[in-house]
Amino acid sequence: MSIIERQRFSCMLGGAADAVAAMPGAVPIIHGAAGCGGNLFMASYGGSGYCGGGRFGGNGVPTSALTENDIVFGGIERLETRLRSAIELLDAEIFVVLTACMTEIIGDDVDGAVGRFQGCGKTVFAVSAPGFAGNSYAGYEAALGGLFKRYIKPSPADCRHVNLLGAVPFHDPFFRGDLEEIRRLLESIGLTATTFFTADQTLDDLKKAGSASLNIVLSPAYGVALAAELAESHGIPYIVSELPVGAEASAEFLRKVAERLGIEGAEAVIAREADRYYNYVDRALDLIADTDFMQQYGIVVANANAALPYARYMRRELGWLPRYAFVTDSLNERQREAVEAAFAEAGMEGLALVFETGTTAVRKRVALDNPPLLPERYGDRLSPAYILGSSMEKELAAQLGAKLLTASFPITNRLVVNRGYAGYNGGLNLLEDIITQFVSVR
Amino acid sequence: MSYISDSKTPPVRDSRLKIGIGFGGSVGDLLRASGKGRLLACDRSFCQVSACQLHLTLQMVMTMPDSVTIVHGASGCGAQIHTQDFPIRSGSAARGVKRGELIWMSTNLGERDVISGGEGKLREAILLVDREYRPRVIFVASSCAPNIIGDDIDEVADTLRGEVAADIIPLHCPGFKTRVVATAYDAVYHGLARNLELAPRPHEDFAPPNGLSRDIDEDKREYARRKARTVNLINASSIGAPDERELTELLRAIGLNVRVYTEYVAADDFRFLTEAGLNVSMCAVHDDYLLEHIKEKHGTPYIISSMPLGIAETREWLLNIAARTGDMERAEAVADAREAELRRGLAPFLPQIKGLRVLLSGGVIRVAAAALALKELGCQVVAVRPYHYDDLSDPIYERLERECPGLSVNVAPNQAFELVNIIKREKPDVVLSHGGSGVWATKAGAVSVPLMSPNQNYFAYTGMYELARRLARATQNDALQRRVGENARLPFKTGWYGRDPYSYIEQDRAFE
Repeated sequence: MSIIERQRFSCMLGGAADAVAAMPGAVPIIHGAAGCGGNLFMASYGGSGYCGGGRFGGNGVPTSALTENDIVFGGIERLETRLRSAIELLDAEIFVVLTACMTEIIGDDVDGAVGRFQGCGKTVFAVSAPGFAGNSYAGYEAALGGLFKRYIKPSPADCRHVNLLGAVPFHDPFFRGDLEEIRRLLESIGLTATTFFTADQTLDDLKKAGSASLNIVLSPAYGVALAAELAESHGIPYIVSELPVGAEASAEFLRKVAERLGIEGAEAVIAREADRYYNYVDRALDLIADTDFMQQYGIVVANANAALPYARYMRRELGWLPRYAFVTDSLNERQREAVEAAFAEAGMEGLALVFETGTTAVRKRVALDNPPLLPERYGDRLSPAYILGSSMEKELAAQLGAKLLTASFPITNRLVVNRGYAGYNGGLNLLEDIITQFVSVR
Repeated sequence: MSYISDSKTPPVRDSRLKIGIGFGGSVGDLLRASGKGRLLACDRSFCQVSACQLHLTLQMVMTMPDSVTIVHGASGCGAQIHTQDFPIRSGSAARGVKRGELIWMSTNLGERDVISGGEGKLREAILLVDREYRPRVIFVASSCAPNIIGDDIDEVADTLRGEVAADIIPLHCPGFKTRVVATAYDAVYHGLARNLELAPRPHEDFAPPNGLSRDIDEDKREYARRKARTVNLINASSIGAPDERELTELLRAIGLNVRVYTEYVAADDFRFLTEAGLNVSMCAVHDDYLLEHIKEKHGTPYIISSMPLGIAETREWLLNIAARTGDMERAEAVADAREAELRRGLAPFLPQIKGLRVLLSGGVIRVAAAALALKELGCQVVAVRPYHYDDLSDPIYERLERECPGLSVNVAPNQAFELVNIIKREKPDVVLSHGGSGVWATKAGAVSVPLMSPNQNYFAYTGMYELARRLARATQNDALQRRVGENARLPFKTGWYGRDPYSYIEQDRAFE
């Protein structure tokens, strides 16, 4: 792991705590310093379009609150006391102890400690999540992996049930709206789905995840390794799909899932959805088609989950010319290759896929490729340009005189509630938000 | 207390002061327990997360224009800057300080670094920042992991000092070292005082007397006069630009020249920090470490007296300063005039505010000062919940005991479970809440008003007016709180609300 400018993620502990607290009836307990949980929540909250802590997250997360003495002499006793109180006080079913840097370094026997809580009537287990072992995306996988290992039992497959993996709470700021819409699509072809993180989820939905006949990973990078493990441990096969954004990608997604599960009737659904979708698009054309908003050079600066869906939407739905897709996550080799393969498969000629974590470096790259015009009357340039990025792309937008819609972590200039960009409805939302940037100055 | 000169690392408040983070009882009992040094042992058997000293450290130092901060730790440490970025940029703008993007780096420590040390990556980061951004100052804030594995950030800084153009300022702020976020003030001041010049440079910043000029003695007298009329206000992130403006205006009204330090101040301007006759703290919990150091090394006296919040405290704060500078008469006249003006302004709001039952939750000095201010407005204070307690706060809590005898105090770094229990029990009309607790108050069905906000005015006379206006506004319509209170699901078992809110504080010894 190399040094990094303004990381657009937090650490494994942060990602794991976010994921656990986003699930129904589950509480993370941070075995570390009292500040870890608060600081990490500030990161997720501030970057996610202000997604709050909810029932068991945020600054309500229990902690063993270790101090210097505990680092010297071990923190297990404190963990046990405070975990016992958490079980007594909180109206939850699943208690997940997450280890922070310090407790991993000093080697606290956390599994031994949680072992003493077996038989207390609640599910109690530990997940190793020290910040130095990975970033928040790794934490998401670790938390979900722990849940499958310790709570979700493998059960006989229900051929109509699937699980949605890969949409990462907070770091995919539209995770709730996206997951709801994807589930709506799946329901339209007769399936049910465990989303893990939407408002409606219950413990039954979590348990039902064990009987899924397919894990659908909505990411080329995250949840894929977990899905491969679950194929072994729970016998659930998986497919990897990009997050479908817009009518074309959604139709493709429905076909892919239907084909995989042998479902008929998908085409009728697709036709109906497309009809509705373009009815709405039609009413936006009066504005779009007569103006300069018609066609832009596109720049995407986003995480590995959103980069391709956004670039593809620009190209295939809006008919724009996406020129760059910057992927700002730090990826391992396998993840990186998977992202490259997904872009290659989508056929995005004219688009440069760049893996770059640093905001300054992104700007530099665009500046170097597009030097200021020489003092000549005629010269082509990267304009008009439109950026789908994070709030940190404000300077890039200023540099290019481009419009910017914040659509990737960190989003600090919007409140995201249940908005999503996935599926048909998400495609319409994205159209609305992109074009609104043009008229918002009126 | 010459820590600053002698030691690489600052002390922690856990040992430097008599502190505590857990207590529930009357203000009198609190003072007695603190006096006997028994608060520290009051531990919780249940605990919810809070912030750590790294958070406040970053909040403070990143206000320095032309600085870049390197967080030495895993990728989560410092990631919260995404939330701090806007307050700091808008705070800069509000003070007329030019500030572009906030740049920071993470050394992003991994498993291998934890085993073999992270100093190499820190060195790499410092060199990169110096080359890429050419800042005037590079802060290096070290978090828990490097402190446990023994990385020596001062050593790294020392070896690079000749190589990089920036001043490197190491900051020691691992969360596990202290229970009190306010230790960050010491961590930051330690770093600033050890690494920045705090006095002007002869020939560069001023022309030293050379014997050829005019009457040297007269020059010296003139210099001393000017210095004596200059006062430094020491600010902090919790104190917004509107508060700074109001206090500056008050002191100017009594004829003083006012400058504001240490946040939002450029590194080179620190050379004039000691060119003042008096340092004045705006909050007793912040500044003793730095101001004592300056007094020791540069002879500048200081005043630390609670917080200029509310009519009486503001008058006392102003007169305290005036007594030192010899402006008593003017100060009394200013206070009289401003108070009279304020009382006319408050009059229309008082009937609405009178008798409101208020709970306060937040910083140790601020909740006490605000409680006294609310009493002046005719409100009834239900309880105060300071984030922590320390003996720097004794004077204002003694006053609280005199004016609100038997008042309940719950010492708690947020701890929403205790807050919600108290709200359900006491049903306050308003909760004045520090960031992070308003959400819990709302979910418990109570109206909440921010206890502090960097964009709002709380201090002195205009601050008092704004507070009254806000209370009157907030209590006119509690529809959101009622709707949310009826529908939101709190995390606690319902039995919790029937139990003593302090059930999880082990504090028997505190009452002996």
